[in-house]
Amino acid sequence: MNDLLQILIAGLTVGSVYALIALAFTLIYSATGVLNFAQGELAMLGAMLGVTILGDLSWAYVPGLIAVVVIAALIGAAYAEVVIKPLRRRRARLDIIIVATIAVSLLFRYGAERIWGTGEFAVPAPIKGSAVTFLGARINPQSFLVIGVTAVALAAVWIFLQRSTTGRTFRATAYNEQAATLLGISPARVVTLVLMLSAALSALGGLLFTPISFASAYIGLALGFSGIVAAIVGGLGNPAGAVVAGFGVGVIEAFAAYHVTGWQGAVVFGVLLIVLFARPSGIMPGRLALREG
Amino acid sequence: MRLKAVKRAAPTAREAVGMAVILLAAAAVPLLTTNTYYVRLATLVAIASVLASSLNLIYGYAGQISIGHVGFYAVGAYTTAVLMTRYDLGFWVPWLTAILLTTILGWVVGKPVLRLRHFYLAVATLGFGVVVYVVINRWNDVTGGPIGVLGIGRPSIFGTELVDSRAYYVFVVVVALMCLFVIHLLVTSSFGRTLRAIREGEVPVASLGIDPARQKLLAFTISAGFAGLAGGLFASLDRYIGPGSFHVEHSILLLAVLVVGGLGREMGAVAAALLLVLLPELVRAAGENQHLLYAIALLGATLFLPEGIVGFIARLARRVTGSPDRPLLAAAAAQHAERPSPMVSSAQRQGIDSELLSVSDLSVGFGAFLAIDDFDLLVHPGELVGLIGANGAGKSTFINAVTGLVPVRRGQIRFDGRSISGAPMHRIAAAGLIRTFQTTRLFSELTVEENLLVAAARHGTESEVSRLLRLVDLEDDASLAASSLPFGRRRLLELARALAAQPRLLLLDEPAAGLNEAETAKLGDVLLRLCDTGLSIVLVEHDLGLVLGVSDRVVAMGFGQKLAEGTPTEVVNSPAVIEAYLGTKRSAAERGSSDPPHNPNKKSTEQETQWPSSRATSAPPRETSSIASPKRS
Repeated sequence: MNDLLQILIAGLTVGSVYALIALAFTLIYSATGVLNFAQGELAMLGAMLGVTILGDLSWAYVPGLIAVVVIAALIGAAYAEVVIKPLRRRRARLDIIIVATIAVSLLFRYGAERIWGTGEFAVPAPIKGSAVTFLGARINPQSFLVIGVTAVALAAVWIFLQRSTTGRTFRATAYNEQAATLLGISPARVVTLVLMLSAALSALGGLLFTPISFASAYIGLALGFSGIVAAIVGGLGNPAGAVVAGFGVGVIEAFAAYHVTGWQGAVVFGVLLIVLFARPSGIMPGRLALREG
Repeated sequence: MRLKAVKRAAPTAREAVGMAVILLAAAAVPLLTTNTYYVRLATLVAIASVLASSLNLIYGYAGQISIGHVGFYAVGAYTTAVLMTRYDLGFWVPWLTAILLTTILGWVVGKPVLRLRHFYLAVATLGFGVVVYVVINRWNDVTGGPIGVLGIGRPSIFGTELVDSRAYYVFVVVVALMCLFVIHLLVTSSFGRTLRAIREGEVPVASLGIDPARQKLLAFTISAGFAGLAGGLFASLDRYIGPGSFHVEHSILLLAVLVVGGLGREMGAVAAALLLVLLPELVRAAGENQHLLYAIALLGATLFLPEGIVGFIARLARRVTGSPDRPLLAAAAAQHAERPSPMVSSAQRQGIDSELLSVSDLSVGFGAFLAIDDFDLLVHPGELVGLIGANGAGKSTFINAVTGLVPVRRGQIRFDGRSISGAPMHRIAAAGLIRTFQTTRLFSELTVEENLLVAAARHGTESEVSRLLRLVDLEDDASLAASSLPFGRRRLLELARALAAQPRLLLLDEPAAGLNEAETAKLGDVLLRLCDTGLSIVLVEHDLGLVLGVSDRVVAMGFGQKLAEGTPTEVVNSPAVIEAYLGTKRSAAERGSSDPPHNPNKKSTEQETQWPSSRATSAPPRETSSIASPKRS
């Protein structure tokens, strides 16, 4: 029972990171129709920026976190301007856009390798002290921080999408870009904003991930896989589905790691394949996205 | 015809040039260098060409993304390696076993996975790649785990093992060229054409009587087999394999270079192989920056070479030579062009009094809304039934339900005596029930002629294609891309494509929408001629002039129900139809008017003289359809 709770919380902790990345991925897809395969690398950049800002520069956690998120948002804006918008203007085929995002992911990864090297780094943990006992289970105190911050971030995004005017323009664009344009919404502006938000969410996920695990230039691939898979299995274009599936992937992975160490990748994909065969459009088919893809 | 023959030679010549360049380059390698490092790279390019071509078949041609293709490559490599090192079987038996195994595995994986679409398919194939990677990494007893398999031999030819790297290179190049040739034959065959049609849409393919799922599975299975074959060649190359060569990342890179090389082009796969193997070598000079440079090169290619490298070169070549890059009319078509042939065999025409299509108590609903409510319809052989009604009356839904595109909630649909309710779309179409779409669904990247050939291939009636093109005046546009046709001619092309699928009953959904008057008249003429050959037609159309001019019988629909049925004259004079179209009756009734419902009012009598007379009562459609259609909604 204690083991069960311990694994569950470990799973939800990693799942928080996946949920953030999955949400970021699904938001970009909803608003632009782009599948951003560089999503995991944006999370990696968050972690590595944390290494510099929190570690090397010894900033306090909260201003450091804000700085990382802001820098990531700026990288997201540059990504939108340099890559996504020109391709969309040219009405490039989806596969070309996918390959462009793969190229960007390589650019981020090897760029990070040049800046930070090939080593593994530890970001200073914001909460000091060893594991605490909670309901009889031994829990890493970082878990509470990760799950808590993620919950706040998810709530903020939800309120933003539902209540704010900008959030509504996102949803309008996702629902029908042409109609949104006729109403005076600028799709170009939405693209930039969505990429900024999405990069910020991913970077936050990467930053939260690092005290639990090491940071290196190479963590983006695995993080991206899990996050993107969660976004798709959750029902591409559905933010709630992405978040639920993100936590789900984390929990399945944690249980698989406990019972069949080393095989978790296969187990996670095995479970997800079964889910997909049962529900070919994901757990919660995307309401936001009516795109043909 | 001579002109066409000259034009046809151009792409063949260019293909030959491409092939010759590859052959020369391949032959030059062992002559130019004895450096084993370079020979190994050249061998890798040949292996990668096969691997990239296998992915090109399923992704480039059939449009089914596979992000786990290196998984099949890995299974091929490990099967060959493990069988060779564990059992003293030499190379050939393990290699052939590996090809067989990956082919079977392709079927086993493809069968469930190909039901998924787009990104869901992407994730499922990615999952396959991950599972294979985890298995080869962890199944230590068989695969050697992270260490891999050591001491793999090379194939022996006439008792001599190909130990020399140049000898093995020659062997691999010969095998690779044979593979590329087989794939060339596949993609230029009618199978390849069907795959390209599937890439553009599965519904229109199914509407022609072809089962897209089967074609996709076949392509996936063949593709997996070729990937396994390439894996076996790779196992023997370095005499060692480890999991590092088969990470999922390699699948993604493979996909990326294929797109950059030129997706759906045969030479694109070769370009992809060169990129995959040589680009890292070229940027190696950049030292620590090599990976970064690789990423920038890839990004630059996507931003500046939208059609891939091979597409770019082809465009340059077109600009230089000025020749079109299109396949042209098959020679067979020219030979058989003049042979007239009835649409329907005389055997089929015998049962002229029986019903071809019988629909009874049909109900179709979406949620709480009933689009069709208790609808009956009979169609006899050789009959042209017009189906009219306002927008939302359920006409298109009727076609969708009968052809299996939307599920039927209740009722019986029988075609030629057999029940077809609930049958899959392609099977209904294969029985001879062919439709067109309200918004045309052509294979827009295929040529006009190819659109028809896709439909005709199932019956082996490719020779009829040129006759059908002439029927709709499209013979001069045969080699144009379907997307380049103006709107009205696309409709005619879709009609011709439906005819190429050898229909017994043709369901036309607003074929005259977007046609000008002359084209509409021509269409009416064509429809009448088709019926004379014994074909049955259900014509859904808003152009009442056309419908009333050509139909033997007209059925009017409103709110999913039958309002009236009879000869064109009877139907246009039916009070229910007048009410639905002009709304006079209902408003009169609501006002409490004393008009008896069966007595047509003044307005309708006026209308009666304006309606064009039906086919039965004389007047050719060419004249009648020029009368402005009343109440076009």
